[in-house]
Amino acid sequence: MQKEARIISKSHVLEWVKNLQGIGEVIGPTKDPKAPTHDYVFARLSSPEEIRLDYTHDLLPLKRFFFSPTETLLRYRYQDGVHLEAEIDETKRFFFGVRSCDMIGVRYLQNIFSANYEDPYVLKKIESATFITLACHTPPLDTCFCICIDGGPSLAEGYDIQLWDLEDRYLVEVGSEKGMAAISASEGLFKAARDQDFRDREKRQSVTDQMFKIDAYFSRSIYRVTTGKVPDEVWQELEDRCFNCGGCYYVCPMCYCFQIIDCPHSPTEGERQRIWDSCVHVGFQRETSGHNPRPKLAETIKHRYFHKISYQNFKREGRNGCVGCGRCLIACYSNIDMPSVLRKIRKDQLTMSWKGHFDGHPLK
Amino acid sequence: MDNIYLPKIAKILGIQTETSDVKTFVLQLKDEGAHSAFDFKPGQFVEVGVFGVGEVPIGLSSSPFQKGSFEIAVRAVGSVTNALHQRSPGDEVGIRGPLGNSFPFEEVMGKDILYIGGGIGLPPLRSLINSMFEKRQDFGKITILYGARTPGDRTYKKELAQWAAREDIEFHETVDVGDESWTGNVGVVTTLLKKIKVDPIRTVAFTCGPPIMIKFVIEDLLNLGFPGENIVTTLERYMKCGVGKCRHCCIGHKYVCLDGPIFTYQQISELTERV
Repeated sequence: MQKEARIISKSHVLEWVKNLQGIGEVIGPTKDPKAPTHDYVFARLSSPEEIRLDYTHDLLPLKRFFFSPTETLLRYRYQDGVHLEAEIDETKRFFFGVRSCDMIGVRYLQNIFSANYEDPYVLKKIESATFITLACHTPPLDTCFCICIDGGPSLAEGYDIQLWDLEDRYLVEVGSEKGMAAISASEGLFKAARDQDFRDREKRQSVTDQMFKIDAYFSRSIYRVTTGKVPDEVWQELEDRCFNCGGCYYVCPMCYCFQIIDCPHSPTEGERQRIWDSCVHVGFQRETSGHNPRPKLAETIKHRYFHKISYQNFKREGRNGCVGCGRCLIACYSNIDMPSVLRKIRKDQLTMSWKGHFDGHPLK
Repeated sequence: MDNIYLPKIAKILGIQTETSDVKTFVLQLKDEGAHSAFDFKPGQFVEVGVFGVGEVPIGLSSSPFQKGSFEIAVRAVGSVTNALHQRSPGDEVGIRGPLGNSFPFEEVMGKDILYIGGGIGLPPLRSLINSMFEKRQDFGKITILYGARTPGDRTYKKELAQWAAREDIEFHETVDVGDESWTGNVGVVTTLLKKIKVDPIRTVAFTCGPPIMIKFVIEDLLNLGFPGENIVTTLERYMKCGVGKCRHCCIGHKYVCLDGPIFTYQQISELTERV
């Protein structure tokens, strides 16, 4: 079914952003002029001119805006008993130019953090946000494989507004009432979309779909992991390469393990914080007694990939824990990343060389 | 939307020393409405917090039929449990819960019941045992086997004596290592299985204790002919959120905090990760 759609000329986009800034914070891709070529980063715009819609990729996933690396859950104070305070962030924010893979990552977290028990810290921030996504039209990075795992390059659902770059203009697809509200405030900047605009969109989409360079063989690997058919030697080989740094967790839009710690500021007051943690760390399940159910790195890596691609977790969480954003390829020092691991799992390619697959990549 | 991370404040009404390193805390939620709404089932746990130190998951040890207060038994092992041991009656702690699933209760009415508890594994079973005593006529034969490391490690000494005196249950206990004052059984808890007669088909076994004990108990029960679904046990993991988010207690695709802590042997044997 055709979604409600408009057209905005590229020359009007900054004015639209400015209008949105009158309603709430606008967060979009920016670039430090002194930074290396690929260092685009999502940040709050102080002026519309800072937005860089020609960006490729933010090295860090969008999850950090909703599920913060460090978040205060509560403040406590001892004074004739215990007093507690908690703040929930409900600031209205527009996320402008979000990539499809990051959008799916946020919707996945929304699903996880509302299942069984609702987590107000994550959910209120997502509910207060309007997502204006940008379908990928430029050649994908050499590390992108969203097309293999239904993570992009464009979206069928989950966005409030989806933009399509049609060279001199954007096709503006409206996906929700929040999206419609973001347009209504600047109604004069938009025109109705014509059939030719949709034809141009199809053309761009088919061109982008052909440009991916990596194959990620999910289906066979999902079967093998789900049924426990992967020999231990495969995980052992990964252990031999892994530094257990947790970088793959930091850059993954779908990873959400966390730790809770108390931080006293004084004997009578302090705060309880949530901080990022990763199930790939060997101390993740270690108990006070010293007992550790997963004491080996091979087991924690196996668990992480089991969680990401097994059918058991697919059923529990509604989709695979990977969107094909390719950030693990960029972050891992040892070339342990989803496509490489899938190749190992698929064929038990124990003798396959790790070297060469992504070496020489411009981002490495 | 309730804040799942915001604890309720509970007052420590009383503290009983059970052994050299185990204390029972009698608690009451400070807010009257919250306390009367605090409705739990045997087997469930709470996240107990000492602000400034942290939170730990602890199984509720009193019966839900007990109103006005609830109890937890805590062994001083790590930073939070040691901090709890330094609290005094009147002090306040944080409570989140009740959390997790619970022991089958209505489902096992009419069956014979066998309890096998070890050391600090007795408190969660005690919640169920005392609940069954409230509805004694609804259950068949009840047998309780309890093992502790030494006579000094026996929890609920008064209650153990009462259980031994009861005519409507069979009770045996043992210690791994005796001392000059101890005249009872010596040996691991599984040796008590030889002293009793059970019909594995009409009996449901509940076991809780250290992992190594549970392993041998399950082996012996299977050898006696217990079907997997008639063996009910608890699993433990390092746990943080208690509400199925943080993934610390994950076993395969199951969460001990959400899907557990109570599992049948049948369910455990179907897990994709070694327990």
